[in-house]
Amino acid sequence: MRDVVIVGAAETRFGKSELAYRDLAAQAGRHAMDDAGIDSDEIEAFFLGTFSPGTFIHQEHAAPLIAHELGLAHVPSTRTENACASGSTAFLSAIYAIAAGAHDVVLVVGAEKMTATPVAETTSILAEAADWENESKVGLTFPGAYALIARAYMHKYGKTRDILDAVAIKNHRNAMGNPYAQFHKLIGPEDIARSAMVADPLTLYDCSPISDGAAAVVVVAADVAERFKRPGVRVLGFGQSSDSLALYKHDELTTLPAARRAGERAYRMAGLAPEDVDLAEVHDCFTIAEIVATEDLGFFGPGEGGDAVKAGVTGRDGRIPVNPSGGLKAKGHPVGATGVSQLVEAAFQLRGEAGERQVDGAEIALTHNVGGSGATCVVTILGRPA
Amino acid sequence: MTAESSAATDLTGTVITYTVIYVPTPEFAGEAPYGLAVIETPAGERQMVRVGGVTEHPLSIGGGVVYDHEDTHGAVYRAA
Repeated sequence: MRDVVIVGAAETRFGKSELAYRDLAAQAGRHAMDDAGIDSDEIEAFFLGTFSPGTFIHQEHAAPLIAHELGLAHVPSTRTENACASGSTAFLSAIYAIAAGAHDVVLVVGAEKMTATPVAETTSILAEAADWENESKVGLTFPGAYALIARAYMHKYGKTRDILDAVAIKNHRNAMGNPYAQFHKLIGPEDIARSAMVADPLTLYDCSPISDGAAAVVVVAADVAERFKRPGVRVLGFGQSSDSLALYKHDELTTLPAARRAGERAYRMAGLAPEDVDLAEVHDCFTIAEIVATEDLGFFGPGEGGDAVKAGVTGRDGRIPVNPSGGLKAKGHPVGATGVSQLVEAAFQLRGEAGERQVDGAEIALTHNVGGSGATCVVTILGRPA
Repeated sequence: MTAESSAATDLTGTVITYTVIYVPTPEFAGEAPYGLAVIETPAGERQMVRVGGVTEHPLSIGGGVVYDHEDTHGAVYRAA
């Protein structure tokens, strides 16, 4: 395959934004092009990762909308939708286009505008990423799906909710160093104990927030990368896998089998092993999801991920820093933006530009992006510029 | 197998995992809190079912559920 690098990366601040959907997306896209030092006339194709603008803000056909805002009306523009993994599947689409030789320079944007919608309606929209006939119609919510995983996990391994607390506390602490994060607020176990139950055993503090935001990367063929001002962050490997939308049909309920498969493919392609990874941005849409992710990615054995968080192994100065950005939990989770935002954070880290949250000497970064309760899983492995 | 297509009293299952929903979608606004359980039927099939009365009769992993009645959203089970 043709080697691919990231030469531009940018994101908006996540949270409740005054900006409209198109303006958020365009801002991230423009800043990524600025970061790469290029104009829109150098972009040859555009991919937009977005989940449900049709229901959030009555806007489908969003790729050409954003392309036009960015002065890219002349290029092919395509939207990808894989629920919360929409962003990273847009990124993989860009890689395929470059690998196929169709394009050399591609812009990828991930975006979502969620806070303009009443919360109850948002719960309903997110539930549409599950199996409507067998889950949502029966009364399952998105937090409910991960609550089923949390309950199964804690029962199987004899754990209590202090492992969930440890994830939320760590990620809020990490987000303090991230200017793009939705929350800059330290929390402790007492805050979690006081917070409202959403889907037993998950409370409000176990859940990622409802967010607006956008993120963007400029992806180019390595053989043309020299003409850009930024050193290229190398794409070393990637993997995507799928599973049943319905959680109860998964082979196991204490792991996301598709994430394991995606990770195995990415490691094999990169020729790397879990112990080679210097930091990981993983899909902690709920606290339990981070614990399961770190096991699916091979950082810890089954049932060991929660204790590792408690022991500080995944802290910024730990053996394998997980979600130094604050993760979905504290950075925020504008659904379509998340996968791209993980890549942006990885690029910042690998370029040594992550400021207060910089992981010292980061050479290899991994991103893990999940749609629904694991029906789409994407893992990418990135390397420091050569 | 659905509630409509079988003798309702035969519908039982063992709880694999469960949750209690406190923040539902608008369609279930009047129902919360209600239980949801992934169950395995005696035939070895997995399904997800809604469980009523969980405040008085809590669910537990390994415990049983049994079909109770039908409401506007479909079948409702209870802890056995």
